[in-house]
Amino acid sequence: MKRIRLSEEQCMLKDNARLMLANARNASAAAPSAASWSQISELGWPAILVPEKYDGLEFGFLSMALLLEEMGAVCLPGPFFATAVSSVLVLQELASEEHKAQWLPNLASGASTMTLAIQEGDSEFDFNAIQLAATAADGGYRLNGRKEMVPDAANVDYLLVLARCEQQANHYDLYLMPRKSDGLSLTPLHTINGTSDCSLQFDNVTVDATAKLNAQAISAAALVRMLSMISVAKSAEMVGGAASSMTLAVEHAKERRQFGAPIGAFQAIQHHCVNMLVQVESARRITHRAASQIDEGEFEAGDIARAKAWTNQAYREVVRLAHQVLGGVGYCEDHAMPDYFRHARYSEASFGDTDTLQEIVAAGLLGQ
Amino acid sequence: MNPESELESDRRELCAFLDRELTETIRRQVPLDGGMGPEAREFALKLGAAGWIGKAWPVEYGGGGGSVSDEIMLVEEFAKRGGCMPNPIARFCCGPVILRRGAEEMKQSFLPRIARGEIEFALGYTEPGAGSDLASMRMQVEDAGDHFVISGQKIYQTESHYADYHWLAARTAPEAGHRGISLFIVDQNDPRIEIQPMNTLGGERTNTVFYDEVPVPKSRLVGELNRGFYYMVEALDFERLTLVLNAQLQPVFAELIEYVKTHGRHGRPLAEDDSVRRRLAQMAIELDVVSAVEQHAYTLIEDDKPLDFEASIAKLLGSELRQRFAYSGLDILGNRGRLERDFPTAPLQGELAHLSRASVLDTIGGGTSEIMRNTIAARALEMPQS
Repeated sequence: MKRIRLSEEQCMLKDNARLMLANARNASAAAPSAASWSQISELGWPAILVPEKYDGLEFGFLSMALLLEEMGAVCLPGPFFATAVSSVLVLQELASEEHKAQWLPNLASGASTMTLAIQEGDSEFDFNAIQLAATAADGGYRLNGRKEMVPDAANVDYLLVLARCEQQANHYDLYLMPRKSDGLSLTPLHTINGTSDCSLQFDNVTVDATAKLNAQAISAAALVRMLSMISVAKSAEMVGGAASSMTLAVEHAKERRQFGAPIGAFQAIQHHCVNMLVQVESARRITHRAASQIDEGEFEAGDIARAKAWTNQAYREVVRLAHQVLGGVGYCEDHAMPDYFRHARYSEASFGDTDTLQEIVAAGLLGQ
Repeated sequence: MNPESELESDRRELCAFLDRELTETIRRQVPLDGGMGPEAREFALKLGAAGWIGKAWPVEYGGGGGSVSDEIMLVEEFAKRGGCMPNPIARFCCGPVILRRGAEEMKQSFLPRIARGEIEFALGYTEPGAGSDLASMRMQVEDAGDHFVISGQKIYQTESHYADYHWLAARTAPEAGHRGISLFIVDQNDPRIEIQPMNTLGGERTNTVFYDEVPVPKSRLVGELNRGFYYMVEALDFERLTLVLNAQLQPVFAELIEYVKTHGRHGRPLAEDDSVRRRLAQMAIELDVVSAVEQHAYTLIEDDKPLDFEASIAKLLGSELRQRFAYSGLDILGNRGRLERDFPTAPLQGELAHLSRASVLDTIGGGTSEIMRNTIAARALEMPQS
């Protein structure tokens, strides 16, 4: 593996993002105002993963990881991740050339927002649970079924919907449609991190022929690979949240006085803080490694799945230790720490819980 | 050729050399497994003659005029093969200090021989009363005019029974703590030095070493009087990276995967057992995590950037991971994992049984995990001190 060195552009991207986002922290996962989405678009951030030939910046996965870390540091709510990461990657990896040329520029400019609707069971990775079907009708398709736990569904313009492929077992097709479609109803879900996830009900939702994005039926293996890539991005966002949690705890330890000293002078507290640093730093490095592997182009799902598998564990531990150091104040909702608790809990289960990712790693090691 | 492609071509050459010359026998002998046998000694000389040991050192001291990248390359390529360079203390602990702080005569006398693979040093720091609190060491140095006279006791001197030289830290200013310690190079086989063996849980021999008024020439003082502790601390970051090399676990991990693929339990292949799959996955993940942390530290060293904590957390994390690795692996092997190293039917040649014993020291030697956490808290996190 080549050494990872950040370019000057990458350092600038990271530093500027940190400055821009410094005042953006929201207490809930509610939709950001239209103003802030236009700010994000103006900065070119939605274009980072989009190839230049589709009007993107093509800065690469490591650059996106650096930006996502800054977003995670302030718990920035969606639909950036759903649009600029999940949807861009799905289109890149699975859509036909024609559809990429039509849609990627829209995402790159921020003109359209989009999210991915895959899950029907307990996990995005449980493809066996996918029952939603698209039947040919009137020169187009009619979709019936449901989707579960779709991030930011109520806040985006378009949905990417994964359906069962009737012609090939264990294969899938991808359909694009406006959120506001006849027969499509959204129910907001109350999750630990707010109400921006939705379940979707499709009752004879009609789309025309051009709504089907993939040329060939999509295999489960292709889905696993694509979801593993998204998991690396989610891992980057989590590194940022973990880093902020640690900072909150360390600063508190330096200020809070008991027994005639700042509590940070006591060894137990110091060790908690160092343990957080070890978790944050190791999560950052394995995430950068996975992001670089994606940029270099030679990777298996089992290689890159390691990043979020570790970060899941790391962020969980950081949150535990941060709460422990913060004591009573970190337990109150008027403190920032509960936001990170929620962010960690939510993200851990998003695009790969530890068991699922460990299984992907094991399959890579054992050849099955 | 640009520096990067030159390094790449050097690495290919080094790999070819190691693939040819580094046998299993030699790998087992180096560095601590009962000392250096004849095969390991011969290998050290070959490695030196081929210019690899001193590659990063200046030409005038028998080196190859290379850079720190060459140094890192050596560590990495040996680690990948499950081994360690011969005479590592001489090359990675003492050599750099001699190069940076030694008088010209000392540099000329020792560096070329280290580069040729001819000599090894034993680290002489720890005393019965001075472990983590190294600055409290009491071995006494008397100034006898034209030479020093040294008396006292050191413990856990791990290579003293076969090293050529003792890299000795001793007190030259009483009551002065870390400001009164000096470094010396002493002939380890001086008859006034008594070496008593100690056997360890990990199977390596270490020693208690007694100095009874041992005369040491003035020329054997390293650098300046009373600056020894500072020299010891200077070398720490790179040293830490050579201490716990998780890459060394790759060969045994590959064997474990093969074992899982070819064995069964309770009528089912191990490879289909969920708990086995999870354990293997977590082992692979942790190896990768430590590697990523190490690589970042190496990058900072190569770019001559300061390290606040990067090497320390590599050692901290790496040592704890090694212990978990051993136990996870043994959990997979079932109760025959208790069979010891080199017993004919021991699974994986008993390597994991050995690792479980040897890794006990990893969180203690080279800086206990507790002390390292204290140091990182103070330096990297700037936490208040009581």
